[in-house]
Amino acid sequence: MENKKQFDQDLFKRVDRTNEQSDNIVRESRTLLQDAFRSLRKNVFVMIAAVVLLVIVLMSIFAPIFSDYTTREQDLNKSLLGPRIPVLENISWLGLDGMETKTFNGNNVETAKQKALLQYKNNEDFISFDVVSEGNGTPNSAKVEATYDKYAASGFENEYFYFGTDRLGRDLWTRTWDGTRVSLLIAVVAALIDLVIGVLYGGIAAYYGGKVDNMMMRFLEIVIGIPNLVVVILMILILEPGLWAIIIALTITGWTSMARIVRGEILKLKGQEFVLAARTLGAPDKRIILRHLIPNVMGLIIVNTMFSIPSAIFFESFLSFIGLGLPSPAASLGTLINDGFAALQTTPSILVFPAVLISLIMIGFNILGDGVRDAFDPRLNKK
Amino acid sequence: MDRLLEVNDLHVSFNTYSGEVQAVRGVNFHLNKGETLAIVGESGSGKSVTTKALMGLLPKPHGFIKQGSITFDNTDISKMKDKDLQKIRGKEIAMIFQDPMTSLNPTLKVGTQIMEGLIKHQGMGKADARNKAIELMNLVQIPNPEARMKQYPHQFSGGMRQRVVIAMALACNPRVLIADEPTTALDVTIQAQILDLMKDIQKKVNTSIIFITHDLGVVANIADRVAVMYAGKIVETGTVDEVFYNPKHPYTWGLLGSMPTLESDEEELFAIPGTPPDLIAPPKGDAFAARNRFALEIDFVEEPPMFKVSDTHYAATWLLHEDAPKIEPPASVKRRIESMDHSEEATRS
Amino acid sequence: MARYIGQRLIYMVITLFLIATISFILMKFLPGTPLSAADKLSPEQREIILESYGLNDPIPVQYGKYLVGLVQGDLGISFQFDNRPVTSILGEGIPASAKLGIQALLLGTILGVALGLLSAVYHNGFTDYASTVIAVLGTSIPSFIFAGIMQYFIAVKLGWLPVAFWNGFEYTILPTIALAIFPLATCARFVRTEMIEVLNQDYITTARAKGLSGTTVVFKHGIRNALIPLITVLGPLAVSLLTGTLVIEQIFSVPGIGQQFVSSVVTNDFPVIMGTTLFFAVVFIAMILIIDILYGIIDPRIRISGGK
Repeated sequence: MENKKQFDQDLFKRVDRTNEQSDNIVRESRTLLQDAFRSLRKNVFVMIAAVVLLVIVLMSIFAPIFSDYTTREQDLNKSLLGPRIPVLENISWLGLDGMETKTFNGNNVETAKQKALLQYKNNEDFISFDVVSEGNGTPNSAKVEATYDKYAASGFENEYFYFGTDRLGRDLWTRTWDGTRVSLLIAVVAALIDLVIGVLYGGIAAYYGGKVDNMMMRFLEIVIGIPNLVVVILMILILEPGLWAIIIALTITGWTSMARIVRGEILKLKGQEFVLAARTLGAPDKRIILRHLIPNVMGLIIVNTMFSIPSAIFFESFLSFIGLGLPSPAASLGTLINDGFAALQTTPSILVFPAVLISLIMIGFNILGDGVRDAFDPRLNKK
Repeated sequence: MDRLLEVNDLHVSFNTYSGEVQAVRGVNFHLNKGETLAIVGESGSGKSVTTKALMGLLPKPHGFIKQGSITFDNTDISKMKDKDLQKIRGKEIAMIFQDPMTSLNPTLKVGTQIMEGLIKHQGMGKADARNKAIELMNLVQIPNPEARMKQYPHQFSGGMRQRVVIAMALACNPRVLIADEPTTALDVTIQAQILDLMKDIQKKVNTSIIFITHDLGVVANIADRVAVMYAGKIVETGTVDEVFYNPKHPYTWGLLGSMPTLESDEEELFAIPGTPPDLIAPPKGDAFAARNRFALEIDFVEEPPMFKVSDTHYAATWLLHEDAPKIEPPASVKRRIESMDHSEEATRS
Repeated sequence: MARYIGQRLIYMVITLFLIATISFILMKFLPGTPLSAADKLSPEQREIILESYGLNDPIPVQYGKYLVGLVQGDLGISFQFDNRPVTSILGEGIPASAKLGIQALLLGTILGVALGLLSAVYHNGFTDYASTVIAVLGTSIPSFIFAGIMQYFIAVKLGWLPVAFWNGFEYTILPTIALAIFPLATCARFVRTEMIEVLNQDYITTARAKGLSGTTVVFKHGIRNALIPLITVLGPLAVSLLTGTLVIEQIFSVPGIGQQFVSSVVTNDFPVIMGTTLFFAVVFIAMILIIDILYGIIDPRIRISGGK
């Protein structure tokens, strides 16, 4: 353990530390919010989800405005056209060329073709055939794939319905984005109302405590005891159908989870040392609420709201699905999906676009909610 | 004396999102048969990590032994497969954990948890294991063991739980017992009981103990030798007397000075300023330099080697270099040492 | 424990009473009567029908009769289905719904728990990522979308399974899967989080320090502690299945209470709506009660301290 290296004598001088701040090793301090944002930005999935949601929101606002069609304009001649998008229509496997392709069976190629002609109003000029199997005369042994250019056949060569049209000939591109906006609006408004009621209710119960808390909680327990499905349906039944009926129905039970969470958290915080310390130091109620309670509950409130938006979207579409949604001709993702189901076996494309959108929105909000929850969890940040 | 366990140049690192944390950076120590070695240091100095590495209990996959060896019974266990380590863990080397409130499984009966190790390592049947478990509970002075066996951890007080943990650790007569701050989470009165119990048990079963603590009072009470850790390294090591009455490293001075004693009412505590360094990017030179009020220029350039003070006493500080100015421990620390001397003598007589 | 259960039962009765009252009041606010569609009836005929349903009584009397009926297990008579009592209509729908619900709950929880445990034990491995993706998709995408996808591809396009109706086991497969995806994903997610947390607990380190093998640690010390809290989500899950059945039964034309409920909503069939509402409420509340009691029995920490 002898040291062999030789060092300069000068190095063995004491360092003058009289003027030195010994605490300069301390890291810069960040607030919980800054910390949360920092870890959110690092999360790739959260960023992707945020971008996707942003695009959807922007599209839902601007797509109907810049569309050549309106949501209500009907034209039975344009009924059930397939999706057709410029440029993309040239990539055949995407199926965005407005063509309708179907397989017909027959005893031989001719009978199969006849069936196709019958189906497509004898518009021979607009049908191209592709023989899959020649057949041998036995029933349905021949297979013919017929591709029908419905746009050209109906004289709409120059029109482009990006998502196709519905039974009534309405443009689904416009209706889908419009419906997306309506669904998002319902969800966001419902979530905000939940937030306000829930935070107030939970906050008041927890802050006053004692008898007030006890009574408020008994009431809450009863409300929670009633299955929300049942309440929502009953509310929808007695209210005039429409946007507000759905929002009210959603909020009438939706606020309970927020109230419970806020109450629980505030009760927990109230008993914690840092609040007691602030109180001992003589901090007024206002300061305790603003500086100590709210910032600490904030994360939970944001996270809970993040999750209540997708659940509201789900409930809206669910209500539409069982026939309690927005009355026609208004559109929401739910009503569009409901229409899509009606035509699932013949024209599945009607279901595809709203289904994909609602899935994207739900996934997006769930990923975002997860990300925000992790970001606000100080225990996870330490790792 | 027989060296039961020898740790050579042990480096342990953790992979984290912010980079590789070098929690242990070249630790050397050994443990003789039947002795108690105390490893002292503040939180984050790497003392717990060192013992986790000994047991092969580093959290996988983030924590890993980067280099160095751990020789137990003439075999290097640092590179052993987990399967082989399982035969040593609990049987040859056992561990007592810091927080008895969390170190017992809440949904298994206490008896079952004590018996587990016996069944695994000693190949005992249930009945034998049960008898042995009752015997162990008697050894750690848990009253009414037959009934207590069938209870769950939450029905035990903190001190009683720690006795259960000790009973579990002692189950297979381990040759090395690692106690990771076993009294930190307990009430002061219970702390003394547990320490007495451990001393008592060591006499009875003659096991070697590695005692991790940040409490110097506990060290004086129980240990034969002390190793002081700072920022992943051992900075001073020696017998209890050497380190307590003739400390050489300024960090040890700081630790001694910041320890309140009964006589300390008129004196200010000698606090160590600042916080330990960031082990993702350890500073050049002596890691303690930035907090050291006796730092030399060279501390910021070159890491000090271990200087020999006596055959058993070493310290890693440039102050021991022949060219260094002679610096005495601060007066308050000296007085502290003297007063300890007196109180020791007072208690002895 | 007995006192606790008693207390909970009293609570249950009060809640049920309130639900019955609320749904009765709401029903009375509903626009339209079951006869609003039948314009061709003469006033006399209309009067006779209203009288026979007791709709001419003052509201408090109707309420009293309704409550007395409830206690006797009488939910009234349907306006729609040939004057049949609501209980018999419900009785007809329950088997299919119960079968669908139980199958889905079993499938969902068993697969979900397995998936969650796997991804926790092989944390950050391929299984973990795969199951995380499944969990996010399963909890996000509404069950009716899955139902639509499966119905179109598996039943319509490939013809492997029947498209709809309820005539034997193969008819139950698609609706069961569609309904099971949500509980599956929820369980997987929940169990994964729990298990990861449990595996990071000190007592797991203690168990490893005893020299127990990896499998013993996971099975004996890990799974038990990770699964106990799962009981708490089973209640909400079972309730979400109720919601799910409404839609899934529609899509696959399953003759269950969900489908009856939707059709009674469309035709303003009050007694059926109220009966189903109450039935849902009873199932819901009973489920929560059973789960509370079960939790107390399984978790020793709660068992000893006697409930609350």
